[in-house]
Amino acid sequence: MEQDTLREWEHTCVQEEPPECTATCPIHVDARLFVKEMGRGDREAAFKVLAKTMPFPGILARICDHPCESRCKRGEVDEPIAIGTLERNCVEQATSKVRVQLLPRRSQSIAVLGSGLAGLTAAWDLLKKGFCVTIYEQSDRLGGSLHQYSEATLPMEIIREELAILNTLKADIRCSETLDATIFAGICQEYDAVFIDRETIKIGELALLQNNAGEIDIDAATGATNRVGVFAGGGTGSNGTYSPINETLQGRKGALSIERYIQKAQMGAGRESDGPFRTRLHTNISGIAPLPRVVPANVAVGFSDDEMQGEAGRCIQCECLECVKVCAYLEQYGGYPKKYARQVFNNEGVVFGAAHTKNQFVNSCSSCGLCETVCPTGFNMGDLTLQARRTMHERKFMPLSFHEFTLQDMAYSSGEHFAFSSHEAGKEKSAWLYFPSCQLCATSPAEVLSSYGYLRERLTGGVGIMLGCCGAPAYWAGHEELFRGTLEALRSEWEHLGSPRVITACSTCQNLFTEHLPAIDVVSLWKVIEECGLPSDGCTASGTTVAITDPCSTRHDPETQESVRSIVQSLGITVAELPLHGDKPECCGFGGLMFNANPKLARTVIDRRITEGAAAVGGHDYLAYCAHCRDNFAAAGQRVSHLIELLFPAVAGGDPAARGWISWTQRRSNRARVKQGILREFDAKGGTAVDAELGLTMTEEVRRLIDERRILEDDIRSVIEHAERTGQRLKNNLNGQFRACYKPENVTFWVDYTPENGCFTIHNAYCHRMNIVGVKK
Amino acid sequence: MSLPVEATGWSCAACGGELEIVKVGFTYMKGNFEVDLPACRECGQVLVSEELATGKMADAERILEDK
Amino acid sequence: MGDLSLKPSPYESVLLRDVTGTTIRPGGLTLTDRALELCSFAIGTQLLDVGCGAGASVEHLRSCYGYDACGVDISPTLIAEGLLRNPALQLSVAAAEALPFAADSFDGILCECVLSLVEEPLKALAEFERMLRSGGSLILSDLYVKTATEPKGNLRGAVTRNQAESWLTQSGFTIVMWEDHTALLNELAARLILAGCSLDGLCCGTSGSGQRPGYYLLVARTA
Repeated sequence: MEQDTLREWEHTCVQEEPPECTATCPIHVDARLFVKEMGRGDREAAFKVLAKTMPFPGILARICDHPCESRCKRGEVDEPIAIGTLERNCVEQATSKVRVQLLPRRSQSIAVLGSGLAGLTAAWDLLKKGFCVTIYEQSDRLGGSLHQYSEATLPMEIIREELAILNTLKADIRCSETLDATIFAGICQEYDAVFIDRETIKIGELALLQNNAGEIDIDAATGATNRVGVFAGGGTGSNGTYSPINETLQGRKGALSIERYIQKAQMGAGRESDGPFRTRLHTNISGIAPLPRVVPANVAVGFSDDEMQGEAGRCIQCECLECVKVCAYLEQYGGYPKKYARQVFNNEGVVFGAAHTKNQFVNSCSSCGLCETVCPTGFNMGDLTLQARRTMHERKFMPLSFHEFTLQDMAYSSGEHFAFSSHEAGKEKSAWLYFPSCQLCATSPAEVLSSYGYLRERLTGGVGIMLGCCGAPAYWAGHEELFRGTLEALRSEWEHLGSPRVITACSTCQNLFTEHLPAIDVVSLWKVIEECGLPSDGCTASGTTVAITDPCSTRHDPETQESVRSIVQSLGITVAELPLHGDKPECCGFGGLMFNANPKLARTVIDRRITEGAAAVGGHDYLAYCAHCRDNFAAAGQRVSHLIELLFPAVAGGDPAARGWISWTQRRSNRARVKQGILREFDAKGGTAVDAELGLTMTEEVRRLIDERRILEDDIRSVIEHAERTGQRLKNNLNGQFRACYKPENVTFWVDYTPENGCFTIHNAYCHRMNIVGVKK
Repeated sequence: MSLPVEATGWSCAACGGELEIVKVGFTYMKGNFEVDLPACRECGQVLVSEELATGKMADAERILEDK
Repeated sequence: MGDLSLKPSPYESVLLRDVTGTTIRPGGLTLTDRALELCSFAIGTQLLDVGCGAGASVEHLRSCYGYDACGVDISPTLIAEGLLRNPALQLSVAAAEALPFAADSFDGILCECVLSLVEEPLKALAEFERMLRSGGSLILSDLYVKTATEPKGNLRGAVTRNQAESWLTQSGFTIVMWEDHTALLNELAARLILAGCSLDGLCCGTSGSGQRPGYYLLVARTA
């Protein structure tokens, strides 16, 4: 990933954008954090938050005209948080004081003319930056309009106390100073820069600043006047009202401009967030129950502590996290997309051989796209992690164990036991080509064969068949080369068969073909059945209700979702909609190869879905139309059937939802069975005798255990064959069991077995990747 | 060193010999390792228990793969 | 960390060192050899091994290369063990921040997998600079933190590469070579796990937040 790509990713995620209150505040006080601390009852911490941004917090927090409230998100639910009142409450009662650190003085000196809030703020900021500041005030005291407030609102004592900080910062304060054109000219000569507070100084009288037409131009963004080095700001608000916070902003802007001017830095650079702006942060306010603002019981006294905390407690604490709310994977890693993008970038950037601690994170995303759907700006974690996997693969630091098993399974689908393509038996042309998908063949072989029969019966022009893998595992593993190669082989076969219309029984295949082989006209099997009518042979389960689990791959395919519902309804079955239907489905754990890279997470996801589903629709059976959705729900104990089992029941009057889990071993033998079934249509080639396999017996428990460990029965056979042939094995004298090992490729398999009646009883099997070199002499 | 509990009862089926604790070499991801395991010195047949394979070996593999 | 001398350090565990050979450090002596190859000291060159433990490297430097090497370590236990094993070795107890030698005493200093354990690393680097003659070499290998945002926490003194390099430059060194060898760190961790040792308190463990450090080898020169 390049730096600018990283920046694009980071920019897309808005989680770190400021909340409305902060963005609307002209000086961007962290009102959210302030209110949080008040809500916790910690006025001192709350004060510190204010003091971080506000000059003279004791003054400003008492009189601030709080435009932040006008955009408070709570205001869209009921009433804005009374931020202004809370600020007042905080500084009236907190005992903390502003801590001032004297920096070493810079050599430049600035004159601040006028000591209204703008001038005072400019002085504050410039002093804190280390400049020498002289304040010229015409009246006998500093503050300008600050003195218009009542003693109750803004006590004299407070004004004095807060302004004393200027003394601590070593400001040179001169009151009762006359200011005429001559003196002004002198000041402009003497000082390195000047700031004019327009609230207290009548700038129109300063001829030196006038342009040819006798007017004074002041740049709105920077406060620059016609005269170099002289800046101005402050004065009445747009409709004549005095706005303390805007005066503060004006002073702050002036100080920044002066700093830039003196440093000869770019005046206008990076100042887009000077002053109020609209934030990109998105906060979901649905589901928040309206509550009225807490009002003090005793208005004269103000908030009691309880009342204060009550009002602060109404704060939503705006943030986005929409994607994290719907995704167990994002939640588990405790971050959010902007952070993750940076972590992925760092993970890649490490040189070959070094620690990549984010490898599992990158390989655990299911690429389901739900995050993109709920994200206000469309951040897609699947795209981010897929990109990262490709990089890891290219640079050869993708550890094998994440994906090896699934790529081997894909190789099986592309190999001689399964891969096949041909026109319909007895025909020379194909108007259609059926691509049932390797995974559906793996779980429902008989139903796939029946469905092929149905298609040949209902469609004209010849329906060819293609068995293979669309390349999804390679795609998800980031193995671009293998993916492209697989697709190209399919495409070339398709072309050879006359470029027919392709019917897919799997939405993942459908998506990959649509996106990567756009020349192919693809239609879903369900759409075809919807149009051609139900199969004639008894479909089951009429009069029941099912909850349909849309696969995540149909997120952008409402047409297929509709076809499925239409079919289900024509079967006389009622549909109960799960919360995650339509464009909101999650993955079942197959997508992105999550189930292999992070089996624990995959299990968490499925369990969560079952719990949420049960809460929403009660104990109905599930109906899936993705092979792995069916298999994964079944393995977690949920009653589920695949639509193809209802349409083409292998056994009349059976109960497909009770079928339960299947093993990876069975998935292989089922695929081979489908090919054998197809070949039988072609007479001579059909029914080729399969090499006699070693018979294996094992308990259901053992069968389940070895499947979890990704051990196939063929792997066990290879160990036993090796052991029996070479005699290399151990024997247990207590129970007569044998133990042997064998390493066909990268994994070493161990098997505990006993030969029994021409078969082999398997007691246990396990494996490891560490490679045994040998016994050291 | 006496044989660990999980080696109880096992002997080499090829030569009938008893197992002894020996140093066994392993490699993984460019690293070399040595573990003391029960093995038949004559035939070189090693005994890796389920506990070792699914426990410490799996942990070591994860560290080496940077998971 | 001030009570290092009171609490037995995991590095002193005999069981641990049985597992890993005589040194508990990623790469053992192979990384040392790699660095020495780069420095090409002449026979008889005076070298100091800071954090020498029981003297395995010192022995290696003397017997395999013929260097005039001596070592210091903060652990009296390890020094005692080293001297018991080979009384001819020049080993003494000392802290990296207060080396008991005159200035300009050595042409080379080795400090392997030690700096991140030292209380005041900048002080130690200053000492190294003081000990080395002009044009002398510092062979430094240590943990480093990959992502700067992580608090140093349980990785003790491990810092980012940038921080380490700027410390060296500050102390008067010029960096001649830097290599990442995190794979060796992982190998050590794996080896320890296989032997049933816990990684707690060791350099190859993880910090509280699960972050694993990297490991580097570096050669620097003094002016």
